[in-house]
Amino acid sequence: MNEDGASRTCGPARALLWLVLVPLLLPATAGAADAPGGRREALSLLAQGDALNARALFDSLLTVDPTDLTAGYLAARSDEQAQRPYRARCGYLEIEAVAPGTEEAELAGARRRTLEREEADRRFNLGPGWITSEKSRAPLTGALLLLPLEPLGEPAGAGYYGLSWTYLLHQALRGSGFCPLSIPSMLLVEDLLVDGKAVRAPTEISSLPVNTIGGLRARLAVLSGLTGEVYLESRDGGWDEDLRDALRQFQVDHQLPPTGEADLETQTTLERVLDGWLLQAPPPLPPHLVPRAMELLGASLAVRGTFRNEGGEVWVELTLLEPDGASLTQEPIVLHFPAGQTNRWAWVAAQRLAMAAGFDLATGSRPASNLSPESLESATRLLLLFDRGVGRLGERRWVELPREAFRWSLVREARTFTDVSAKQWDEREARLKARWGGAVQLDAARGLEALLRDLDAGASAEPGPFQVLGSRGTLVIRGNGP
Amino acid sequence: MIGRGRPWRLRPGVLLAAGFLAVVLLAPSGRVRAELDPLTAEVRVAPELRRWTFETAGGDDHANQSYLPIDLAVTRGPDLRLTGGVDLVSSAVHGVDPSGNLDGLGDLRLGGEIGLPGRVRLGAAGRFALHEDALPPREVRIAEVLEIFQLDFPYSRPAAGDRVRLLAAWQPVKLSRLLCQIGASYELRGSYALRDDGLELRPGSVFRLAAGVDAVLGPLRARQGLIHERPGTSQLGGADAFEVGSRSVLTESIALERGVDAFELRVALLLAGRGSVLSRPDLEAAPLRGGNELSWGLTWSRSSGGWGFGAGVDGRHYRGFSGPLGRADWVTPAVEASRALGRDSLGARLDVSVGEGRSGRRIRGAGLALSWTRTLLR
Repeated sequence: MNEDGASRTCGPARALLWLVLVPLLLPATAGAADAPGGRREALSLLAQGDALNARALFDSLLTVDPTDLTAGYLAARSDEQAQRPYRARCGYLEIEAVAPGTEEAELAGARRRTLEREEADRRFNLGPGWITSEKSRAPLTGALLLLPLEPLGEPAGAGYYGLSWTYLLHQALRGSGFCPLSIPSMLLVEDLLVDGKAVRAPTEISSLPVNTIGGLRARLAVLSGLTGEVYLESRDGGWDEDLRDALRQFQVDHQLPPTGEADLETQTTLERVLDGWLLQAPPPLPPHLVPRAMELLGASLAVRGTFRNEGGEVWVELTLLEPDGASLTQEPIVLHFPAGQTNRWAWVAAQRLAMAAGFDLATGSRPASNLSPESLESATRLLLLFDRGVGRLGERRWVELPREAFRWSLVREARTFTDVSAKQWDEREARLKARWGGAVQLDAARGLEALLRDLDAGASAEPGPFQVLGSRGTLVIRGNGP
Repeated sequence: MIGRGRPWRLRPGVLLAAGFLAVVLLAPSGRVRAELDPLTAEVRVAPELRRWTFETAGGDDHANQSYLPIDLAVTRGPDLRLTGGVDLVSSAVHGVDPSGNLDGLGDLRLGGEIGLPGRVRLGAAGRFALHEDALPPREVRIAEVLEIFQLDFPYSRPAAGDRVRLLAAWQPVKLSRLLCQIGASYELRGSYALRDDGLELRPGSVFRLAAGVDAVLGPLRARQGLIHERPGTSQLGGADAFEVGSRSVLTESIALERGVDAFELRVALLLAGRGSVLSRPDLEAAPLRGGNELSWGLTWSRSSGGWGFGAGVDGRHYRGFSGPLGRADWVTPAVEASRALGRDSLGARLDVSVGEGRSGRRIRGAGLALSWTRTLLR
């Protein structure tokens, strides 16, 4: 290369090299440079139980990078640790809405569901007197209570269609200005206000097998006989005469030989009766009880509505209510659509509700896949069972669910939650923290995929055909490379 | 059919690939997971423009190329992945005789992968030429010039037959700080007409073995890989003609993450053995020389607030091969930026190459690549 050539080629090359090297040599911006240390510090504070300071540090990191999902998740986790379950729940819902399918969203979904269960179980354990006490009122949280739609022209409580709307609106309104309230708590309050009795199998009941003394006592302590009284006064105790009496009464009520023994048939009937009890559709909440329900749950707004289903066509009317029961808007939201398009129209309704309150749906929010009315009802029954406390839904229930129902992401999320044990969730969270905190980790699946890509690409570019074929009319082998 | 030649039709290779994909889809593990895992789909369009200048005894040769890949990837969870796409390539050569264009060339790509229990992953992939006609003599000469740049610009390939590959990989060692993988593949290469006098080339099929190790070394993530490939005998006009030498590539990469910044150093060494040419009257005796290639790259990238920035420099050094680039060295600095916007992601990359070929002849190049990715389902 001559002198001139060298100067011509090296000039731009040198400039580009500087362009590459300067960013490498320049110190990073203050916030980003602090990020690794800040992350470790925040994780350390969280591990030490200093949740409030950890929360403040996560907020600072989110100011530097608002798209840091892990920081968002851990901020909500700090809220949970700082005994601010409402804020934590809303944080989890937001992550689920903006980044579905990510590790953070799955962990957020699991934490939210755990919180909701714990909250509903705690309220259940307070007993029915809780709702009548004047002191029972939750702090106003700005959250939205989504009541099941009431059927028009059908017997009250028939079907699960009204409850499907609660689930669909809850899903669509995640991450919007509304923070939809917990469905398990809503179901509990509605049952207590209307019937004076909670329909719920708290975790400590549903997690005990029916073939154990604890499991038998727990079930008989929540189920009522034909007289309206529960079979067993107390869940505590062993194999005593009270339990035998309760079993005898249960057997009499269900046309079984009154042996007082927990034989296989009695156990099977007990499970079936518990399922049937938990699967009863939530009763419609009379208008005069809506303000009390809002007060008990700390809701600032509520959605109440009705539906009419005739010949495959559905008419839905929704009203946004303020804490005193007055309507927030002058006109209700009215929708008319084919029954097979419920999921899409529920999303449209969510959009209109958000607009009426001056909010937007979360970025990337999309309508859930439409399901046939039968699949929607089956899926809703399963979700109801789940939200009334059944911890581990057995494989049988998932197999019985129509395959189409799995198109609804809420069903898949519920399955993931029940399939993964608490220990596994903890392990996943630990891995996420380690990764985010800077610990180097290996991804086994990616390692395997990378090898497959290497095999696919081969060693290098092969000699092209015209490296083999010369232009002079004879064939010339020119070599492996150019 | 794009641009030229006979209409595209179903060929045995396509049927073979469709069969492989069906096996992937119908495998029991894939079917079970497909019911549970969410479907995700992504489409990607990434046009690229590149210009190379190569000094020759008679003056400078210029090659301009545009490359448009369009890809669709559908996944269900981590264990099922299907891909499809087309590569459209248009090229022009100026400065030497003959100058001209080589347009309307392209390939169709199909692929599928499935994860099986026991950390086994199987795949099938195919690449099918969208044109089947041989090139007339003038275009043969243009293609020949383009292939000078092939090592660094593999999609300059002006004509090639169908390719179908079967791939398998297994991960026998999975520890928290160490992963080991081994795998094998077999590539079947279809024949195609080289010249308009009907002369056909059937490249030899290729068998590959690969091994990889991923390890954590303090704050660093390291990956070592070894691929060995052995091509079979290639045929010209229906008779054995030549055998390209076997090749081995040893790769090493080390990555370091510091907050929003990531650094990576890559080194690869290719060792290509000598090939052999059968004695035939229509073949001009010539050595099938082997050689080696050392390539390296250092990159920095930063992602923050939906933005991504990166810069890096790559280098390539060839020794031993025949041809004008058989002994060559060049470096390629590059800068890139990307932006995530909801379901869309945009990216741009600019690079410049400078170096020397055999006898100190100048090589210059520049490329601009853009990309747009949209998530359709998630």
